Amino acid sequence: MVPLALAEPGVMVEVVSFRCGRSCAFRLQEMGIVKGARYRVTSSSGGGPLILANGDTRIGLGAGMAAKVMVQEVGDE
Amino acid sequence: MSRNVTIAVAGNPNSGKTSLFNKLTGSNLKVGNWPGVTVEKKEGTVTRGERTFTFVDLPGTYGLSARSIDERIAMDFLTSGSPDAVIVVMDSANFNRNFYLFTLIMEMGLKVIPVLNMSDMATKRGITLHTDRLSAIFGIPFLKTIASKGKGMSGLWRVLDNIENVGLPTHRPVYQAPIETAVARLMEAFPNEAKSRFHALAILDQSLVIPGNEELQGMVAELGAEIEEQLDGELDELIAEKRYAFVYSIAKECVQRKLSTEQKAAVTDRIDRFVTNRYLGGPLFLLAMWVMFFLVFKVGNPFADLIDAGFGALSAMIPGHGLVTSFIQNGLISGVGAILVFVPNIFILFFLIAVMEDSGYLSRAAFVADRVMHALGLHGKSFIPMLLGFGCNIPAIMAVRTLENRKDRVLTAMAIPYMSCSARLPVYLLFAGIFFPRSEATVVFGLYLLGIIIAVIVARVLRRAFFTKAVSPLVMELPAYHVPSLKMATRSATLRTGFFIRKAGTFILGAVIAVWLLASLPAGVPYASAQSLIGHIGSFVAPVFHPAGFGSWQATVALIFGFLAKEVVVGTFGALYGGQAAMTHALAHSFTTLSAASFLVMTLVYIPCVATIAIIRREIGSRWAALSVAISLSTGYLLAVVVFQVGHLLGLG
Repeated sequence: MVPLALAEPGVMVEVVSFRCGRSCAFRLQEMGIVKGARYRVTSSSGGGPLILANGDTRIGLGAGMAAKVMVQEVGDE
Repeated sequence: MSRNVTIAVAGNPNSGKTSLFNKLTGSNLKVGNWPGVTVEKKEGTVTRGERTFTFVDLPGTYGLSARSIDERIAMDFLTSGSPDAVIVVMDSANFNRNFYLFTLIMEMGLKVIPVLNMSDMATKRGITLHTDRLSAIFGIPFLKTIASKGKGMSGLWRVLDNIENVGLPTHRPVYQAPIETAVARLMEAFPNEAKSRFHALAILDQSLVIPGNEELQGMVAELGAEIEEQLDGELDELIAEKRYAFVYSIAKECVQRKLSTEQKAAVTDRIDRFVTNRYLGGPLFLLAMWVMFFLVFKVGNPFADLIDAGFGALSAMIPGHGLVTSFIQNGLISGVGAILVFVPNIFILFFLIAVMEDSGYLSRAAFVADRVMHALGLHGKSFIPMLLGFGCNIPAIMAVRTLENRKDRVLTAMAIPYMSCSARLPVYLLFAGIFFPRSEATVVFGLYLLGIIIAVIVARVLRRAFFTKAVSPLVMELPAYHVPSLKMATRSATLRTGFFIRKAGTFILGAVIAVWLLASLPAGVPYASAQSLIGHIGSFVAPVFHPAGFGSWQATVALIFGFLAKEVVVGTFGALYGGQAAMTHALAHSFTTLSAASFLVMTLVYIPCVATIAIIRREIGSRWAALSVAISLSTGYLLAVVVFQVGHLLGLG
């Protein structure tokens, strides 16, 4: 389990948990970043802001947010 | 159902809600591409036969809570605005997230008309939505629309015309038994507060707090403890999990995906890899900005010259030398004309901003800016209101409502007045044209940049002084790139330019008439001479500006009247010097290149216009508005003096 900020660009990740308060977790969930959801990390620039892709949806996360989402890498389906 | 029907229009940002609202009401609102474009409450009334429909456009939200102003506005209206029904606009290509909002609104016990919008995009992406199954599950009609093309609207009107026959949804999320029991008990004991399952759940997980009702709070605490004893986990998480499970179960049954989207996604990702790159992103954005200003000049100037020649010819056609002639020539044509000359440039600026918005680039810019903004103590999303400030500070300050924290809202609103709005552009264009003929675009670009830098410094200093908490992190949707609609950009630019022209014809006309009157009085003095009233006022204040290099009484008067609206700075010069040619000539003599530069800096920074001050006061309070005036006035003056004195020492003046 690693924070999203450390995930390599191009890998598929699965959201495991949130390391932040209630309102920030809700904000993420509303955007579709929920436990068990799978995203491909694109345009990560190492610790900085990154983009999560799922189908045609792109969600940008700031560096602060990326540090708060815990994920695990999963293989391609 | 009565003859007057109120219909709320709700939906996620980017769901095409604004398009649908426009199609329903026929009004001409702006259609944008990034989250949070609809901030103001918009209403439209349509009469169909015996019945009058009032449509209320709710802010685009992902959920309903009290966290952001947008969500609060939406929730409050749905709670106490007693709409007869709610149209929930959903982006078909993003079913899950959009359907979540539908689930919440449905749980409010309201009559819902679910509209699956942008169904063409979904089809293109290999997504099939089975509306027949959805309708069967919920017992209410689910509609498909392509609002931007007007498709499916007749079907929607058929449902609206027969709204009394639409029932309440028959299917809903079911929570664990202890939660269901608690909801039932709350709704029975407090029917006014817990008026629906949604409200009962929100009160229970304390996302909705009703202050002052101790009896209710007592019961909530008691029920909450009971539930958490019986179930493992936090109450709000338990509720959220069930809701998401509900959404996924519906999606599994009614949404079919064929994964044929790789190619298009690849294009978006490839663009994003450049545009949001750690090292390239920032420079690319600056380049885009510079190209924008370059076009504003290159394409706009020939048209501006044409209009200028037109006004010149018009002025020459007016016979005589009397008072009326002076009024028309000096007041109307020279004053207002001096501003209207810049309409082509302003149109192009608005057009290009709309193109960037619509293409999906603008939200990337906000994303790229996040790291910088973060370092400077602002929220990444603050960037969008700040960019809007290039158009006009007023809607920009209104757009700070999309930010979730009051701290972010205050800081952004305080920073926005330093963004060079379109009213300042005529001043820049006039002076850059006279004093920097070979590097107009670069000089104006530099002024815009200086504004951004000041904005950021002001925000940072204020944050240090008044706030301590960390910056709230950024998460935002990045809409897929698409080829911008030129029709939409033209309409958006026409609307905004129209506002600029109307302002010139009313408010600014008034200011220019005042300048003309003061320049003609007392009776008998030569027009706009130092002996006129305005000459006296200007001469009295002018010494203040000597250290900044522009101590002529005309410049002083222009700055004083520029407080009404910054275009008036140009209008005042026009009215005082009489005509574009005379004004250019006179300015070239009364300013040096250096004092022109310091005057431009002063114009950029000093005092937000009166309307901006009013909107700051409305949005964040009078104390902040007063502080904003104080900061901008002192900073502007100081900077102008520094520019002039340092330049002078370096031998530039």
